[in-house]
Amino acid sequence: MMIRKAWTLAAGLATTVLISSAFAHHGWDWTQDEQTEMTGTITSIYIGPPHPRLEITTEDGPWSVDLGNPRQTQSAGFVEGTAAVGDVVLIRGHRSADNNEKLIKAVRATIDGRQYDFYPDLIRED
Amino acid sequence: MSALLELLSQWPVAAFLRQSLWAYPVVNALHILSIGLIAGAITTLDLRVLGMFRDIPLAALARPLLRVALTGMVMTVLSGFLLFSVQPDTYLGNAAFQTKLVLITLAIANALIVHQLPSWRRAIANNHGHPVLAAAALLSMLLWAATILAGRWIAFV
Repeated sequence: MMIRKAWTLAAGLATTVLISSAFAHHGWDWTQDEQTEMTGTITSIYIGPPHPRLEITTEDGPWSVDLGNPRQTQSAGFVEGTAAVGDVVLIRGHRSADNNEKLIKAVRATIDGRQYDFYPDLIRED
Repeated sequence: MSALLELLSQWPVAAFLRQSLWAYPVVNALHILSIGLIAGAITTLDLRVLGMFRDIPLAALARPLLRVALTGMVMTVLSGFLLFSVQPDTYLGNAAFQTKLVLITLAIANALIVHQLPSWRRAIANNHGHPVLAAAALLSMLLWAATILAGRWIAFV
């Protein structure tokens, strides 16, 4: 009985550790510390839960852009109709620390000179 | 197929879930609660089949636990369908989502098959276990855990 209980507990803990080892969207642990910029043309837009994102084409090929969470994205003024496929966007943010992963977490998007700040407190001006 | 998915994502309820700041998290929480009902009830029943809680007759446990699990199943499917409708094409193309659908089909098939077995009817009637039932209970626990893991993994592919 004790052994069985221990096994149940171990299985539960293993699952928890496995799940918490990957963090898409959340936090900044998976990104570079450095803030960089890239310009691209929007190929697809998704605004809504669980996570708003853009797909863009840059000189470097296709990139995925994580925007803020739905509330942060709305607060930034980035809503349905703000951007259209084909628009040129300047993304400022943190790239994935994994160089093979073409994913950037945006702190700001600039379209037509208008800035949308998803993380106003984290933007570092050069 | 893609026209059907397009139609589903245009559905007013899906549009509302995309626009509202509270609706999606609420449905998401309902999905988790429903999964909890299935996992809690089924794990308890599986453990009973495997020999724990022997002081309670199997029939006495099976009736309420299966009812709770079934309720959880219906709620999970309904809430899951709503979450799916928000971006159907994205989810269908997601390997973890595909894996989850296969696993949940296996888990449900396992449960349905067990309930057709003469050894299950005997176990309910006279409270005697059977190695086949024990194996199915172990498989059930594994399949539900794997289903939940695959489901959680959808966000990390």
